Amino acid sequence: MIESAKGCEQLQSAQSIMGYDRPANLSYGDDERRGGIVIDDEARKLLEALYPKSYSVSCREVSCSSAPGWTGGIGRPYAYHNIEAKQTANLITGLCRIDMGLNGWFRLKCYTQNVLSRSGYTAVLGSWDDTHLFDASYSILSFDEEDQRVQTGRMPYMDMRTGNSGLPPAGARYTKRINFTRPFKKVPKVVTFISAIDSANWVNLRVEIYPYDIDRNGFTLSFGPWGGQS
Amino acid sequence: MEAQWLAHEPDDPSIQSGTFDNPNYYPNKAKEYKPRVSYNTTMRKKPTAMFRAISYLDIDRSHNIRLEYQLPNWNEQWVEAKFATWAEESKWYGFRGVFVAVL
Repeated sequence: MIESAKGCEQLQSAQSIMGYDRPANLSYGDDERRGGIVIDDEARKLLEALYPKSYSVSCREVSCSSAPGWTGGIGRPYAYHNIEAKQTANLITGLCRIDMGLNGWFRLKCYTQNVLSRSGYTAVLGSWDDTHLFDASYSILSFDEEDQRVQTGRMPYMDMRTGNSGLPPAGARYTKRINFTRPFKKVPKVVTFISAIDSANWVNLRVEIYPYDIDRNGFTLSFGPWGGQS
Repeated sequence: MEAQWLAHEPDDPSIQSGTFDNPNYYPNKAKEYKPRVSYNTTMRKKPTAMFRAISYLDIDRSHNIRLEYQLPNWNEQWVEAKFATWAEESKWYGFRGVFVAVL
């Protein structure tokens, strides 16, 4: 782009970015050259390279207790948060606070629904069946539709098991190779985290999630309990 | 259960991520832990968005589960975390989390 520029002569062109219209109070006399208002393609490309578009993200925390009308207890309905946000792509929900009793299994999840591009979504969080949930909080992060900086994904535990249907064996740890939608330029940084738990209450709550064998095309996810946990 | 993940270029100046690899205290338990992690590279300014999520739990089932993972303080170089319970009985063996910082 710069190689094709022809120096001062080019800058005097009425089509050059240097000849754009500007307020009269910024001018000094009639001799000053004033050009057109059109930026040529070469100048436009140079500007785009020098000033890449910046994207915004949306990061917020939602909790069950802050949802309208929600109260804790056993078998409570889900808590709903209607979120207004222009960033509705690559939505991730991460567990960050738990307040739960021992009455039933340890169950908790958060997911998004009714996602309207560039407008908002609904965050749904809570527990089910006989779980005694006092409260829970999730951190939610989302990006602009055009933002290509990140890739995200989700992996339910049940989708990682192989073989016959039914509950996975107690204490089973699974690994699964996850391929990125598009390769990264370099070996990326990957973070993995819990977004839902569903664990028996007669053993300690043990969950571990981590990535390994990371390369430009994907990574292996290790996910599960240990020590006889169901 | 469900896991989620996020990946980004390691040299993207606008995003930093990492893990608080807290020790496992088994057979002892902990009530609070406040580590600090430095980013791989200093960011241009303090991140405006800081996402966090739990990645590891090892909890005794004999008491109610009361855990919170917070990021009370961060700047362009590091982020501080607070792993805590708010009841003396509800301590944990292991408790870890990840963060994603975005300008």
